[in-house]
Amino acid sequence: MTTFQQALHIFRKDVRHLRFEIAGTVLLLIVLVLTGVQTWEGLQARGGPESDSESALAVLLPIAWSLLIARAIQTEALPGDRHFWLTRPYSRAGLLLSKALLVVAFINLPLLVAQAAIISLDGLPLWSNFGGLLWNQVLISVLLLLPVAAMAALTRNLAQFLPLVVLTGALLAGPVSAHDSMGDLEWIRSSLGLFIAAAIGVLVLQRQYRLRRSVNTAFLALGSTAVGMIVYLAFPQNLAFAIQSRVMGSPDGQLTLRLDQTRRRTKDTKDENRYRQMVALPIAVTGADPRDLRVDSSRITFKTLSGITRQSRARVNLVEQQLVHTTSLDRTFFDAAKDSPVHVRAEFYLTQFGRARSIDVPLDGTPIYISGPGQCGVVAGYDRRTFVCRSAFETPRPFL
Amino acid sequence: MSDVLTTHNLSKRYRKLVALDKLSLAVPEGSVYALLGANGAGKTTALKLMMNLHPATSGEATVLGIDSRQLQGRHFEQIGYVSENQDQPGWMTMSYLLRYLKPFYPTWDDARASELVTQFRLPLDRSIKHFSRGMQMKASLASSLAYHPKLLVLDEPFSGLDPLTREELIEALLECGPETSIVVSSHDLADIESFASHIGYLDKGRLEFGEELSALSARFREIEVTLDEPALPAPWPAHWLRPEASPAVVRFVETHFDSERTIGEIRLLFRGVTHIEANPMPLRSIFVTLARSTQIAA
Repeated sequence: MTTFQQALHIFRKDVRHLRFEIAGTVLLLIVLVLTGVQTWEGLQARGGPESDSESALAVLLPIAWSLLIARAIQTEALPGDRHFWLTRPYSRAGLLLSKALLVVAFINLPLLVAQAAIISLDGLPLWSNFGGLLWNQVLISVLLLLPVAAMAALTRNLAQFLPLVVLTGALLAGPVSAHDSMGDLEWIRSSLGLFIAAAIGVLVLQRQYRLRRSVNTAFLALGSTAVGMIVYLAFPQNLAFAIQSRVMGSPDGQLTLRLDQTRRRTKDTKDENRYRQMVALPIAVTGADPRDLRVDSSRITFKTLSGITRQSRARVNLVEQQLVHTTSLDRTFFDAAKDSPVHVRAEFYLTQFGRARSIDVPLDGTPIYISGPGQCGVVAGYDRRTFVCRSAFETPRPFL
Repeated sequence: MSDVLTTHNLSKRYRKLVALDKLSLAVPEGSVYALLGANGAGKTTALKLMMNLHPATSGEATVLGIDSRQLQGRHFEQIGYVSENQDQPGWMTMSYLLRYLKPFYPTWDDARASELVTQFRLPLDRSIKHFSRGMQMKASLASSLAYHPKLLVLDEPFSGLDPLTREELIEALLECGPETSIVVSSHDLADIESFASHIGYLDKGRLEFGEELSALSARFREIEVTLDEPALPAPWPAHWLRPEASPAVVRFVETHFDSERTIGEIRLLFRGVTHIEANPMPLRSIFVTLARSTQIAA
């Protein structure tokens, strides 16, 4: 038997052995399709978009997939010395390939088909969303299937696998969810996280299927995950921006931003409280229309003459076609600094848009598809009309 | 005749515990090499190192001409491994197990497989997890003999089995032609004696001896010396084990029996020898003698 023939042979055996688990995951996907379809007509009938609610399937499907992967891999468990396959003429490459085939055949492909069906039944164009469908497969494979497969390869049975999954999830979820967002630059860090997860998953599977040194590999995975987390969490914003600029191109060199001395600076009394003071600083833009700018992230530093500094994140809004930089300062600092000169230094990470396009959307409710925001149209409610855009994978961008 | 399996100073340590200490042995082609020893002597460890189930701490083993550290995949097309501790795919029926394994082995023999199934009275449609322990061993052995392996490694195959099942397993092993060499570890000395050609005795991870069974049987004799005036001579020869003295009779086990030399030695050490009897020993008695002597020495 060649390696591929052996992989197919083991794959057929696994399908027979795990037919109930496979049927369970496919059934869940059918339920996903049946409950996940939202047509434009349905949206119009409701008078607006359905409120987002976390479906039980969003929890059940990953659990079912994880169990299927773990059962498939542990049918020929890698740790230990008792398993019958260890002294049979199994090709390690064939074995790994058979498990990959099972995952692709019964997780990736059915999910792809289910999502494609939902998109089609939703009335969204399938071809325009094909990239999104594939990217979704990459995300699920790297962030869920690969780590689960790696953990299954390090354990002998579900009794070992389940606590490991729960423990790993608990340890990683905290730092990842608690870290400060980079705003629109977050995708750079997410991509890095994706790469780290993929690298660790591949490393574990490659080592386990080649060497079967479970303890060493587990320590290696633990160390790599710790280092990966540090790199991920400490990834500098300016580097993320530099990468984004390189990928997307730099803004026009003529563009300058400075504090607008001509406009009266006011404190934002609306958000004032005993402990914090909101400060709004107008920014003058030259070399570009402020409406073509999107500030991805910004950080501002105030320094008094006596050397006291405060650094804070800030948001930048477009107010009356002007950029206004709003930040929150602690009351003590604000009171001490408000009547004396303050040195202000601000960092902006922004995206400059060009080539503005306009598309007419009919008011009669007929939706049109716009590449980027997705399907847009006017939905008539009980007492008003709402302009709605929806897309298969992304939240439509507010600037559009 | 070449050796199908050799080890040279093969050792395994688990932290401070020496599980196997510089094991050197050779299994000639066509032989049935029985590895004997008390519990914890290192038999299973030795077999697992040979099968590359564990890495050796030092030393090396060669199995069918292949370094055991490289042993995997295709190499097992010619090797069978049956162990009492092996996890079988319990969900498979016997019939599916045979169908599943067949494509892995170019030398798979359907006729031999069905012959073994009949011989072992294995129900083809029942899941292996519902088999008794004895039936599981038979299933494992049947699926390992069906491809005529060049080397069959059996780790405690008879442990905990009823006499009839043991007999059936041994019969199947005896049916293997000279093309199959067998390495078997066991406590069941009476069974081993009926089909082993070579014996290796392991104690605390060390191979005390390894030789042909015929040579071993010839070497060990239970000696009974009738004397006028009983007394144990001093110094007592190191190769005379388990001395017992009763009025007028001294008994011991001679581990290097040579008719002329042993009798000469007895006459030299004892006074008033009236009768000497040298009885051949069954393997079980040899094993017990060695095990007890080791315990006393320890």
